[in-house]
Amino acid sequence: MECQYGNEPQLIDLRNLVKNYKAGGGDVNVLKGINLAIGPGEFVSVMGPSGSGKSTLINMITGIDRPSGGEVLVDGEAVHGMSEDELARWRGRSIGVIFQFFQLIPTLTILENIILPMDFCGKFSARDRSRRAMQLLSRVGIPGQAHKLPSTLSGGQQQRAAIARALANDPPLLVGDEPTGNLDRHTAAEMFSLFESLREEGKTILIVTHDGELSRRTRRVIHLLDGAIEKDHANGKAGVP
Amino acid sequence: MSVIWRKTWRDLSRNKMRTALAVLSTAVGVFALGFVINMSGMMKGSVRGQSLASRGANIRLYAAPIHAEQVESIRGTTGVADAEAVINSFLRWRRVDETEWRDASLTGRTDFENQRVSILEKNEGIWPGYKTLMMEHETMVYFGLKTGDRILIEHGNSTRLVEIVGVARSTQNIPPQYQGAQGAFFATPETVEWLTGAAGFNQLNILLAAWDQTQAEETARTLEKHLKEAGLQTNGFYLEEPGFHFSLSILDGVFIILTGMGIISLGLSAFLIVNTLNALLSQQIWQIGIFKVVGATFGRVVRIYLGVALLYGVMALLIAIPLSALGARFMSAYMLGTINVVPGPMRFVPASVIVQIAVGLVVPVLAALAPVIGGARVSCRQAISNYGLGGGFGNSIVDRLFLAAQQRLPVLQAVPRPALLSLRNTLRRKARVALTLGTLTLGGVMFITVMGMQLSMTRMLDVVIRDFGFNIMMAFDRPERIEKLVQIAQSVPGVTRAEAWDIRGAQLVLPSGEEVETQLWAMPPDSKMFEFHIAEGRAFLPQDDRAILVNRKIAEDRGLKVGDSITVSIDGRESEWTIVGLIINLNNGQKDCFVPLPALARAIGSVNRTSVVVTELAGDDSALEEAAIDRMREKFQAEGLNPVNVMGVSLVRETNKYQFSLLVNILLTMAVLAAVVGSLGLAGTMSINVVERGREIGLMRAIGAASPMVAMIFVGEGLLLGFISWLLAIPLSIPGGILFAGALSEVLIPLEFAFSVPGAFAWLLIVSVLAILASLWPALRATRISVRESLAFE
Repeated sequence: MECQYGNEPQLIDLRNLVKNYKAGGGDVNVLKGINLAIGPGEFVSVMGPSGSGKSTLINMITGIDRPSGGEVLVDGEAVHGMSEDELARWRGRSIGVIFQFFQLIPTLTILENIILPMDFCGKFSARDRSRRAMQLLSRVGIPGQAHKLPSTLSGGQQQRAAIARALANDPPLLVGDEPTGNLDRHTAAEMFSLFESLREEGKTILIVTHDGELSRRTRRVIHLLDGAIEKDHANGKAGVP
Repeated sequence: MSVIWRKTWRDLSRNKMRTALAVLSTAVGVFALGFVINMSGMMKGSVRGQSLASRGANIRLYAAPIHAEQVESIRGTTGVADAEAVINSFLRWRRVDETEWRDASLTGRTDFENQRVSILEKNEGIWPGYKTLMMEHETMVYFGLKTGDRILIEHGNSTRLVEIVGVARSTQNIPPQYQGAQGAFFATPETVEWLTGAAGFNQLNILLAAWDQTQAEETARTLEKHLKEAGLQTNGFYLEEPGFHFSLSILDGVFIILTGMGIISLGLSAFLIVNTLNALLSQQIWQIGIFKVVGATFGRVVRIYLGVALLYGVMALLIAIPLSALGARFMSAYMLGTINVVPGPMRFVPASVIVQIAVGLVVPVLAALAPVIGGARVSCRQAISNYGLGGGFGNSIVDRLFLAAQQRLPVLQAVPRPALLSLRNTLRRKARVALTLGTLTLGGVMFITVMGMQLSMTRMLDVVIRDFGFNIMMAFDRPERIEKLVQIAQSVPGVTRAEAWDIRGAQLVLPSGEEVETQLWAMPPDSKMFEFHIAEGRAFLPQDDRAILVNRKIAEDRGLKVGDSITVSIDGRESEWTIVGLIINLNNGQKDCFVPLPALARAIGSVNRTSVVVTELAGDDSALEEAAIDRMREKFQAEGLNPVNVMGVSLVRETNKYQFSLLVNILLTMAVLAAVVGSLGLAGTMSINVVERGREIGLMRAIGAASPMVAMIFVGEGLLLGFISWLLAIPLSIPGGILFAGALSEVLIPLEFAFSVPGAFAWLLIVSVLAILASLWPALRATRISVRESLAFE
């Protein structure tokens, strides 16, 4: 059952979202008409078994992939109608993406990895970028790693760097596809604390996770099953945000 | 430096092998082109410079006897800047400790200290005085003589011992290696007379105030007419434009061909850049995904990777520009040495630097465009989901055919699994394999074609002299009765047949009034010592009178046909002739035409007398020929006839072979460059494969593949690619060779295509060695990949 909202402004608004993939035996219906709204400042987790469409849903919201049908509105912008270049500019400005395998550029130092999105978007002046990147590294707790290459850092440190990179252009929305999936339990818990504090600063956070215990730390949990929302509930209470 | 440039720079320095391959691939192509342009600039510059510095004669007028007052008067003629008379003669010489006599030209000058035209440059020793000689630099090198040596000069029945007192360089004398081992000496007129009996100047060297072909010809004709009117016997003239050197026409042709080869090498380089950039992008595709996730647009991604290509280009230029200048300097010094020119100082030829910078920057960017655009177009989702073991086999028709064949053919079923892996791996990245095969194949085509050209040239030499049914041709200082000449020649032991011929410079006067320089060969109409290759019309008939066989090249160039009537000007006398046939004759730049001797004799009023005799010997080898030449010379001298020009067919063959070997060497240099580009391409592909298949290699090792097995799989793949390229190069070298022969024929010498079987097998050997070398390093790198590293993500 899906949550229903009134007329409050939504940061993410998915309307009848459909995604089909071509496979050997014909079309595979990965998302089957999802309707979902997420308000500003929410901390939402998406759960579900493998193949339920979690990553696809995230890819639709971030514009990494395109829907086969329906609409994706993020902060009022129609993501589904944007060209590749419009998507790239929009993402750089409005959304921070965090991946399971961190995806830091191996030939750039941690600091440079964080400056990179600022270089692409030009939101901050060239002079301010380095200072801001250092601030972000301090914010995620690894200021001492700034000038190291990603390969010399632990998984947790790399993921902290990836979060700092996601925050580079100060986007209102952070989206993570199993951001703790490659971390040990202790580090994953630390990461969640970081997400919580970011939410307190006003960021909207949407993450895919397999970890039920961690998902309980989010305000709202969405359960996907076979491409549809099975449950959408505020923590502990199914069906209510 | 922006973060992106830092990343680009680090990518380049982190993947040193890939960067080195990409930079070297680009550098080889840019080098090839720069090398050719540099060499052309350096060589032509040196040749022209030396020729201009020596105030080379624009008109060489042959007349005798020329008096000092006449020279003075010619100096005052309008349009003439300066003039000087010399004596040209021939002598026979030998070392004191040798028995073999050699031919040499002897040029006499009055005042060596104040030379005016065609100036000799003294290298060592002193200018010659009475009863001493000076030698030309190339004569010194070719015969291993040195200043202070004494040589014996033949003088009638006795000999004279003369000291060589110095060495001079002359741009006017063709070096012995190009002219039947004929040396060149210089002396005062008195010494010339003392040694050869020749007295009085017989050649006028004239330097014109300004060069204009038509004007020069007119001046030459006017002067010739004046001298004739003054009672001198004139023997025609040669015109040479300022800076002329006998080698320039050959060099022009060679450089056109070399530029073509340079462009092909550059094209091969571009192939390699495409390959390298494709590999780079396929390795970095997930990074492109991340760039896009964090805000990079398509244009931004394209600019980043074109920047990489540009960096490759800049690094390649840093290598190619100085190396091409150095290489060209080295090669041109060698080549100039063979044509008696002192190489100028090492310099950067501006045109070469400009062309290299242009192609070094533009070609990599152009070559990178397609792979970069393709890479930048990949969607975010595809890019960041680019994980796992690589596929690439089993989807295409080729793969399915291969699998079907394997199921049906027992031979393929018996192939060991690792070899099968090599075989299938080869088919995985088809575009990359196609590009690698393309470069290797083109390298092979160039090599086999050049080897074929060498064969063509050798055959061409045979064609040039196949018409000659004689072994020796001897020209004398004065005409003699035909019967007497033939009788003396036939009395020489070893001579099986003799005929009297004549050879004269002449002009074909076209209906338009234009005159075409030709050399008229006159022989008995029923000559047994010349085999005509008739292209059209017929050979001579016994009853022919003023019948002329015109060289097909002249006929084609000037629109002459069989049956046409044509005016021929011989020694100033004009006569009408009928073209009875067009002949294929490659000798003497295809300028030779043929007439019956009796008709020529009548036309010039010298009936039954001539100064040329040709003889046929029992065998063809050069030793026999040299011995016969000596005996003939003795016989004729005993009869008071001094040979002024002797041609042995074997010697002509050797001389020509030497010239062609220079050309083949320089072409082979370019073919070697192509082979280098090809093997760089293969090394690049193989090392890219190793990087791409790192995970697969780890897996193979995890299931028990030892290092030699892993290495064998990659070396096997390299060898297979080399072999396939060889199979492709063989048929392609046929049209390649035909095109090449056509191009060489157009600019240099008429060549017919020939396929070199030894050349093809030599390439198989070379490509196999190159393939092993090129895949060995990547293969060894593959063996160093650990299971843990390769199977771990990130």
